[in-house]
Amino acid sequence: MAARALWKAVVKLGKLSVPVRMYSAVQDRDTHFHLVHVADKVRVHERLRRADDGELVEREQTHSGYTLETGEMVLLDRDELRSLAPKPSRDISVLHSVPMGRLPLSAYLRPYWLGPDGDEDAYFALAQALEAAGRAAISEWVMRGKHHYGALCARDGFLMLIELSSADQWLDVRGLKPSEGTKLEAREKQMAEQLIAGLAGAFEHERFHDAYREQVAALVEAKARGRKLPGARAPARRPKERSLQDALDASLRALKKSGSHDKERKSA
Amino acid sequence: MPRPAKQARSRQSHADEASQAPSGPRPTWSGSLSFGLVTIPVELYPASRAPALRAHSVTEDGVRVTRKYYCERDDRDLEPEDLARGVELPNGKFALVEDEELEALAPKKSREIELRLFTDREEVHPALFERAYVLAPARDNTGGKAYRLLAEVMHERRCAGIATFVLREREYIIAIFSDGQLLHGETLRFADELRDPSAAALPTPKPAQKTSVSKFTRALEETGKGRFDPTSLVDPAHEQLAKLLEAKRRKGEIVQPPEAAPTPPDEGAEVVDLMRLLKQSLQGQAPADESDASPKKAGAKARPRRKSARRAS
Repeated sequence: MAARALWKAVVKLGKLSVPVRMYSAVQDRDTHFHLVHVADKVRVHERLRRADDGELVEREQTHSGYTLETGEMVLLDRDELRSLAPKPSRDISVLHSVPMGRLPLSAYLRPYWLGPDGDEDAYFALAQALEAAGRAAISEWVMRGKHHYGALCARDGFLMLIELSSADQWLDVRGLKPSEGTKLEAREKQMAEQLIAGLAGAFEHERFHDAYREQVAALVEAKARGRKLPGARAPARRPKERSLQDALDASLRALKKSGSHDKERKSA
Repeated sequence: MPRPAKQARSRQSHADEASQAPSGPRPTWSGSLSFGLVTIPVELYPASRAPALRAHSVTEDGVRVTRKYYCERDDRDLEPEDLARGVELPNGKFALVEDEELEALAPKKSREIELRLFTDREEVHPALFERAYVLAPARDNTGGKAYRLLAEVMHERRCAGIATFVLREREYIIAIFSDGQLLHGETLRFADELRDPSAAALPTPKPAQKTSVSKFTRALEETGKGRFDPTSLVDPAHEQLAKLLEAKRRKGEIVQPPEAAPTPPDEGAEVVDLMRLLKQSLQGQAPADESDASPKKAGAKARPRRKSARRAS
């Protein structure tokens, strides 16, 4: 079954336009439960109460309270919040283009496929130009009342737009870096390289399965059919990668051969 | 009682854990990273932080508003122990799924991320990235040298390390990258969580006209001129919001939130509570009084990783 487009838009690159349709590139496979009241097994509802006296509050009467550094609070009501919403637009505007790999990895949030919406030649021309240049086009757009940034790139011959987080939400990592220490020796680096080379291989994504998710789904299906708990059993382990033992043996041999490396063999 | 481990997690919503409190960010997980026989003590931090300006839902006099679950039948607020996960049956009734049933399925905790595979970093596409972490050396700096060694060699070889590990009762695939100094971890979506283009019924790619491709190539070169500063990617709404708040403050449109009122835990506080609970359970202690726990703790989902904020909004 073909997925429905989430949105119709136009990629604007300089004076060039590419009409596109946006599709989610991820799908939720998790089992979602309803929250029920244990005593009578009916679904529960939510309501709001004041934190001080517990009085009920209507959702429409709530405000967004921003606490300032001074401890004072400024309230915004629904209209004020609406006044902050960006102007609706159909444009995905390219701001810049950078080599793939230039963006911080932690900025990537969520991928979307873009498909052609009419002009297929322009669509594939943009995909092929991005592919050949090995670049991502940094873009911005407004969708459903919210501003977004994204990296537009080519993948499998198509256009993919990966949403990026706002830079003010990136963790400041300066304090987390390892402290300076004694210089690494050439021999240590050589050994680490050998070790990594011994464990090098292709990433076979399909070999990994979310065993827990699969078992929860099976449990829920059994319940929905009115069966009792199908005897809780230990989670099935994923089959191990073929080369694991070989690789470990190789790393052991490599370490032994070079000798005098005991200090790193214990938790260094 | 529903397990506290069912927190919403997403690349954005867990930012609080890492918010830069005076004591610095707090690790989500600590354990060891190993390759071959080398073991390095590490701490895992979410790589995102909460936005500087965050609102709470309040009344017009500035009192926090809390969400309560209630049952329509007896119109009574419900406590966490009154709540359970339910599966809807064909007859419209619900079968309960007990915590113990899910716990029995959960994988065992792991204290080690064992890198058993190193691959070219380009092989791990950012479309796979689910949540970003920083994998920092343990603060006591044991293993500092081995950490620097791995970071340097991985960076030079432009490779990513792949492992699986268990975090909060779920097994994840994690890809480890190095920037030369610091190791970054990305938990990856499983292959079946990604849609391929055929699911969107996209047309088969075909070579575009050469003239069209070169038009786009030139336009890309044009936009690529000049330096790009990634930190410029800040939502323009933030500045407008800050201006509006400042304008209202100057006009004196402020409320003084009642000091003495017990502040209900917000999302951030919940996360902190979660960490405390997890730590206590590790130590075999009974969790301390939880009476202030927000009903959100009950968590209606087995794995509510994605908050609505992260859905295609």
